Parts: sequence; C-alpha cells; structure tokens
Amino acid sequence: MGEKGSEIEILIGGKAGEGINRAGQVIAEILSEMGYYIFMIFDHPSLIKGGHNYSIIRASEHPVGGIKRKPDIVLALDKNTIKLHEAELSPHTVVIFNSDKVKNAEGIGIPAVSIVDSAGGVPIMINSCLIGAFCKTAGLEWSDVEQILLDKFPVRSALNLDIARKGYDISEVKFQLIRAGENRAKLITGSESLGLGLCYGGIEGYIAYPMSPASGILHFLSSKKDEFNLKVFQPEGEIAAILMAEGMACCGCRAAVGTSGGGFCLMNEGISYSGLAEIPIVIINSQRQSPSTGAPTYTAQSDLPYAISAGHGEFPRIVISPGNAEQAFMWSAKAPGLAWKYQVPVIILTDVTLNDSLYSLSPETVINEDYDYGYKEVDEGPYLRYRFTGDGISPLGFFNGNSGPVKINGKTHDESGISTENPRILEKLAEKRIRKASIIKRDMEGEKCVLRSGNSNSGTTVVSWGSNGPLCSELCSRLKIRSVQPIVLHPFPEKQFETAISESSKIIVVEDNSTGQLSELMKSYGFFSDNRILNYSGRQISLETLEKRLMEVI
Amino acid sequence: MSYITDAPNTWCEGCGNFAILHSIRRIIEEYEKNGSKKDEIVLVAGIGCHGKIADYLNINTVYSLHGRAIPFATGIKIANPDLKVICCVGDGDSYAEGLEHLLFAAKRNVDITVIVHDNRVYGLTMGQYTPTSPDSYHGKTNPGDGKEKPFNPLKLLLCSGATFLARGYTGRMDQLQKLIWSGMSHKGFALIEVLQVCASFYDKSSFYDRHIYEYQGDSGDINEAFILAGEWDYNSDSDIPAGIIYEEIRQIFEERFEYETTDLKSRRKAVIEYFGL
Repeated sequence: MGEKGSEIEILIGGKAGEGINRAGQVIAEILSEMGYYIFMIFDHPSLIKGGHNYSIIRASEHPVGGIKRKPDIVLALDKNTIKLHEAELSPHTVVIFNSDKVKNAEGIGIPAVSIVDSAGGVPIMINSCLIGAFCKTAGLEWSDVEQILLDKFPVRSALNLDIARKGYDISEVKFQLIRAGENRAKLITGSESLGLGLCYGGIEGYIAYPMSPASGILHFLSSKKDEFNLKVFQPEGEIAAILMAEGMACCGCRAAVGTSGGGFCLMNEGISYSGLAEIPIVIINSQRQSPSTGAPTYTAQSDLPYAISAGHGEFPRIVISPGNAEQAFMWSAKAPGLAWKYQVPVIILTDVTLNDSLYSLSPETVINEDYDYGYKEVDEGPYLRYRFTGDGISPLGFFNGNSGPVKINGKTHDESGISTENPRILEKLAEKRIRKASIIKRDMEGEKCVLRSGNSNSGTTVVSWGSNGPLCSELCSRLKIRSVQPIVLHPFPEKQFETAISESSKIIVVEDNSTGQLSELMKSYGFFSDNRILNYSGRQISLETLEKRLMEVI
Repeated sequence: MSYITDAPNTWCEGCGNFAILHSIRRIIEEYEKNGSKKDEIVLVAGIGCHGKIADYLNINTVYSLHGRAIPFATGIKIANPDLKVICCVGDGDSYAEGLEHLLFAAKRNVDITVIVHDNRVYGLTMGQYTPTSPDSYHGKTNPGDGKEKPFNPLKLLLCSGATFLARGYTGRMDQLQKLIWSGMSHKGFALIEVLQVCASFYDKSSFYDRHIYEYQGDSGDINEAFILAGEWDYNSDSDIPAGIIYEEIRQIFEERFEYETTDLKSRRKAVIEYFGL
C-alpha cells in the first residue's frame, strides 16, 4: 500500500463525448475540498466524438504549476488510455479500468457498464462508477466523499451516487490520502478567470466569434451575462467582433474581444484602427500551436513578436501574458483600465494551457488589488477629440451629448477629428503616439510587471513567460534556483527585468515555441540568454522533462 | 450652429454626393426643429469618396474603415440603443469588402439607416468596377476579355431579411430626402440604395433621368417587392423604379441589450458573489 501524504497525480482517459473533462473536474473538486492545491490539464483533439481525451489532475499541499506525467492512479475508460500512456506508468501506478471494455489489463477492473446498466443508468454514468472506485483506491472514507459527490452530480444525483457507491464497494484501497487542510480555494479554469477579471475590471461588453481555445471565455460570459449585467454577442466574424467592440467604446462602454491566432489575424484591421483613432479596447489572443488553423486545441507561445507588432503602422499598445488563474484574473481586471487610461489596444496573450486548465484560486488574494486607473475626462471649452497635449493623451469624449460633436477618425486627422494629410500634422500625430508610448512605459514600471520566485540568490536564472511561469516557479523553488517571469511583455519592463535577473551567471529561457521568441525579445533590450529550452509539441512540458532538460544545461 | 464643418470640400463638380450630403443636412435641421438634438445622431461612414461626408457634417461621426461602417454602427447600437445611427457607405465599400456585415445587419434587423452611395464604380481609387457595375463597364482592372454580371443589391437584401428597402436617385433630391427620412423613421434595418452619378468615371445621369420613375405602390408584400426589385437588373436598359420597395415591422436587434448597464461597483459585487465571498 502506497503512502500518499503530500501530493498525488491522477490521469483519466477515454473517448471524446464520454465526459472525461467533467469527470476530471469532479475528482479535482473532491481533492480541492480536502485542502489540496489543484492543477488539471485537459488534453483533447479537435473533434466531438471518438479520439482520445484525457485529463491529468495534480493535487499537492503546495501550489502547483504543472504536471509530472507520472500518474499514481489511472482511470481508463478504454483500452487506448492504457496503451497510449504506457510510457508514463511506473510500477507503483494503480490502473482502475472499465473491465467491460478493457480486457487483459492489470489493476483494478470495475465492470462499470454492467453496474450502470443494472442500476438503470445511462452510459455517461460510467464516470460516476469509476470516480467511486477512485475514492476507495485513494483511501478516502465514503462518509467524507458522499456529500461532495452529491453536490457535484447536478442531475439525477441519487442514481449517480448509487452507481458511485457500487464502484466504491468493488474497488480496493491502495493509497492513504490524508486531508491536507481546509479548502481555501475555488477551482476555476483560466478562461473563467479571464472572464471574471474582465468583469471586475469594468467591461460592459464581450464580443467574440467562436474559436478554440478562446471559446471558453465566450461560453462562460454568455452563461453569466445576466448575473454580471454584461452585453455578450457572437457576430459574423472576428473583424466584426473587434469593430463592434470599438463602436461600443465610442459610446463610453468598455468592451473586450477574445480569439485565437487566425481570428487575431482578422482583427488586425481593428487593432490598427484603435492605434490611429485611439479607441480603448482589450483583445485576448489565446495562442494555439502552429500557423494557420494549426492545432486548434494544443498549446503554444508563438505569437509574441506578432502581438507586439500586429496592425500596420506605428502606435503604442500594451501586451500582457498571465500564467495561471490568479495572474489571469488580476491582469484581465487591469487591462480595461489601462486601455481606457491611455486609449490604446491592450492585448492579453494566453494559450491553450492557461485557457483550458483548471486551477486553485484564492479569490481574496486578487479582489483587493488596485484596478482603478481613471481616464482624462472632457473639460471646459470646445471639444477636440484629438487635442494635442503634453503627454499625448487627449480628453476622452463619447457619443453622449456631453461635449458637442465627437469626431472619431481612422484617417490621419486634425485635433477636431477632421481628415488631413498636412505634413506638419502628420508629424505631430506620430509624435503624439510616441509621447503616449513613453508615458505608458514610464507608468508601467509602477506595476508589478515581473515576478521573481525560487532562490533569488542563485546565479542560475530560469526565465519563462505565460503558462510556463508557474511551472518554472514550482520547479525552480524545488531546485533552489531563480525563476523570473515577465508578465508585461510590451512595453518591455527593462528596469524591473534587469533587477530580477541581476547577478545571474547563467540565464536559461524556457518557451513553448521553436525559435525562442522571448529570448530574442530580451536580446533586443540587451539581455542575453545562455541556453534556451524550447518545447513545441503542443503540450505543456512536464515537470519531469523540464527538470531533465534543465539538468543538461546547468 | 452650422451643420457643415469648415473642412474644404474635395468632391468633383457635379458629384452625386452633394445631393446626399444636403439631404442629410436638411433632415438633421428638421430633426432639431422637431425638438430632437443632433447629439442623438451618429453618422458612420466607410472609406471611399462617400466617406468624406464624415468630415463635412458637423455632427457625431465615425470615419471608419473600408466596408466596416456596419459593425461600428452595430456596436454603437449595442452600447446605446437610443442613438440614431446613419451609415453612409459606398457600393465598393459595402457591397464588396463589407458585404457580410451588411447582410447580417439586415438579418438581425439592427435599427440603423444605411445609405448606399451607389455610383457603380470605385471613384477614389480611379474607376475600377464594383459589384453593381454592368458587364459592359470596363475599368483598368477588368479589361474587355471577361464579362461579369452585376448583382442586384435589393434582391440580395430582401433575401437577407431587410425590413425597409428603398431606392433613390441623386438627380431627384426631394424624393431622396423623403426616402431617407422614412428610413430613419422606420424601426429596424433600413437601407436606401441611392443611384448616384460619378462625374469623373461613370456619369449615367442622362440614362438615369430617362429610365428612373417614381414608384408609389404597395410596399408591404414581399413577393411584389421581389418583382419590383427585379424590374431592373443593373445591367439592362429597362425602367428603374425609385421609391419604397419593401417595409415590414419585426423585432429589432437592440431589444436584447436593452437592460440597464450597472455601474462598476455592482459588477464587482456580482463577481465577489460568484466567488461565494
């Protein structure tokens, strides 16, 4: 019998349409209730039925940044789950399998189909049966899990509970999972956290066209639109989405859009418009693997230079890349205020790992941050939408009748918003944008743009961004080396970054791309990396693999 | 206060855009006489010769992108359904690059008034053919070795669910002004297809003067509307009806967004409640 005190990893797999994600969530919720920190990835190809879906849940007494891909328990709904993950199994892994579907397997066979049939259930309830079996295997008392399970089965709860109990009874105890403490956290996906952050930051509208992996935000906000008093709409495409959001902004209504690479390409016209016409807008670009349609449901960090330069012409913007639910909430709550204060596009770069994964979030740690930025309001005198000012920021008037005619213009324009191609004014407009950019850069140094963790005295520094940040932070803390994660990537927080990496003898950059995009960006500011650990498999690198690759270069 | 800005007007002499500009100016004057305020109106323009109207009218404007006036207008209506939104668009602008937006606005019945400055040619970019150029028209980009028939925008919009459709002509300004006024009074998506001359590249005034007649019949029957819309195919020399082609009342798009938007504090409170705090 294995002792499992401080952490456990569970893999649950089956075909698409079998409810793997939901089943994984239920297991995560049970462990969260027992006081564990959770990180769960959901790996799913872009299809509706069939294929192979799986979730890996890692639960620990300490904050979790990634997965190990060394499961202690495997729940196999089909034969493929055992076959495809064979290399990840160790001698101590316990496999719980649906013995009605999987033959000749070693482990705990549960005749889940027969149990569900004889109880009068439906096929999706096979999950309940295996979850019941898991609880026994993990060493949980039925009396501890009964209420949790009842809460987690929203429909036909009594029947589900009955089936779970039958699975529990037939299973065997293999671990002794102890309560880690009080449940302090809320389990939340990155997508949900982004949506909640946007609302907390004051957006009134979310306009998006469905596109993995950003759709989770649209689905979530759509389901909560009445609760949050939000205008949510799915238009005819991404070009329309961003321009509708900008139309809303012209009326003083804060709006955001969300998409992935291909949709972000279409939005470029709107980004450039926002750059010239100075319309505040928040754009979430959830990165997917490879160019074009690529691998829609697999992860990458390969749009960094693109996000920094998207849209033709030169104009200021802010690019932010949060790494987990906590950072996602905080920065998506800051984004609308920043966009409004400077009248610029703010791009939030996320990825499949962040959007689709499940995290423990302690709401108390994020809701008391300062998210109020204010903006330059209309003052006395005749209103000029694009008045030239010392800091490049003009008073922001809307179509609300408070300031006389407001003329928004995507062509080069004079202060009132009337088109002009006068060479002096073209120069002044460009200088206005440059002044604004330098004000943004100065002000952003007042934000916590760069996170440092692990051993800050170590000469070895691992730099990572986005969803790799928390992963590297966890590993570096264990290896007693330094971890640095810049969250704001443009304008690049040079001063904070310099401080964070100061006195490093070796800088290793970890990224989910094949060209070292952050490493190249750092170089352009004079920060040179010694090694790059690049991963472009579409899956977040596991803690085990990352450790191995770090050891090769340290 | 003047309704026209002091921006120098750069349209060609004899351009049909003048008739549309002054029709809109007169309508806004009329609006204010009736006690409404011009601040309640927003004009959204696309890109092309027509778009300059945004510079010339001293009212709220969005000088948008080529083909994209409609999504800006839709966003404005989502944010504030009480604003009166006029979209001035071109035929290249909204029948080519921005066609999808136009059809979807008709489908949704967004309460906006779209005025199409249809001169059947790209003027500002020097005379290329547009979706409504006849197959006999050859600009620099479609030399005579191929024929492409125009599409009929009125039929296309009828299929898409437009609830107000009219055709006007810049050579008949009094009727044009009445049609735009009717379109703006219509609760729902209104489109006024305005046949306009391009003085530099496609001056069809004598053809239009001969063929356009004022239609004043029934506009409530969609089958009749299809027949009327099809009377002229934008290619032949048949007579061209001008007037209200079709009108119906249907639920408007904005109604689904009409609830009060709460302030920041209550939205934050809702998030905190979601967290169960």
